[in-house]
Amino acid sequence: MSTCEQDPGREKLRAFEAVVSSYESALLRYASRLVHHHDAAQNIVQDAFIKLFKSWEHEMLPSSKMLNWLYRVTHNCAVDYLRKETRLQVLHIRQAQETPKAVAPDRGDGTGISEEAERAAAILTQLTLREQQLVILKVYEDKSYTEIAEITGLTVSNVGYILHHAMKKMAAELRRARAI
Amino acid sequence: MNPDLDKNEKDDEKILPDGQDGSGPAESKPLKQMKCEDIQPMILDYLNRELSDAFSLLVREHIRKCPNCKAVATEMKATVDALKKADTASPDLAAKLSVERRNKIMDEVVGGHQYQWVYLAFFIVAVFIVVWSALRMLAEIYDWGYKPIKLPEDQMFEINLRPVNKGTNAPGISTVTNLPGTNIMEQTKP
Repeated sequence: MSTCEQDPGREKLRAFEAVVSSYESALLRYASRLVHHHDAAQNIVQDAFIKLFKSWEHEMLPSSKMLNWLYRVTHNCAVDYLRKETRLQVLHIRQAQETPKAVAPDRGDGTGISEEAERAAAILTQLTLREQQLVILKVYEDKSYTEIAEITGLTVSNVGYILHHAMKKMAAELRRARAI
Repeated sequence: MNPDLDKNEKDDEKILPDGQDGSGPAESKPLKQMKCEDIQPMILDYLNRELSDAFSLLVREHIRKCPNCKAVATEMKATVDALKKADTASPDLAAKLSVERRNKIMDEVVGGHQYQWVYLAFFIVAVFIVVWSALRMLAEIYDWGYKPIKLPEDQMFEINLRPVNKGTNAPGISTVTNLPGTNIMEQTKP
């Protein structure tokens, strides 16, 4: 890192560090919501940034195109992690069983989340990974349908359709849970 | 079932809802003729502000007048709100990469960046060795370029390959080509 020939490389590294600082929070949140595991989310985002440095052919500057690319890579790494750990459906079932128990028990003092919110979080884990991805990108990351389409490779129409059905499913489950 | 949003955003005059079988935008319907089954798939898009102005107005007016669709919209909104509340209370969403992981990222990219020329050099040397070995092997098989050196008769020596007993001279066995100036330990008489 000290020779003159490495100055362009040093510039790129500095720009890369700035990119990491800009996007690590968003990607960590996204990965955490997908895999529900702190260390795994950190590993996934770490891998995404390494892949960015090795594969990114354009200028190393923060941009929406780069962010969408990072979201896509993060999602793929998350899917790889989930496949490696267990079968996706078994994991969702396990999470659905475990998630309500993992929520803070201090609902009585008003500072914990409501029962409705707990149920919503649990039901989210029961959706397919694709549905979860779209709900997370829309509800939590506040991405537009066009951005979601770019990240996922789906068409805008497909995004709206899948989201509609995912939310409809969730609303029906919440209604059923309230009725019990 | 699902309106083609791309077309709706470009042309507000046409209504292009999917047919009942969800096959895609098949026919146009005037705005006034849109029913609940046409509106309800658009409610989430309306709540997400993904509809054009014309469709947003249409959905808003319909929801105001139709109790069923109003109930659907209220339920959808409540679901989204519940999800958002669940997320804000979630304590385990780390905001930053740990220091170790940041260092690991930089080590990975710096190391790769620094040593890429070394890896290239190794690769070139490896390719050279493989090619050279292959050529040598082919040269041996096909006897390329290797010709025995033929020396004049007076420069050739005979070498006795049999053990020599004292007092006896065994005839020479074979003639071996030698480079001039080579020292030969024994020499038999022809």
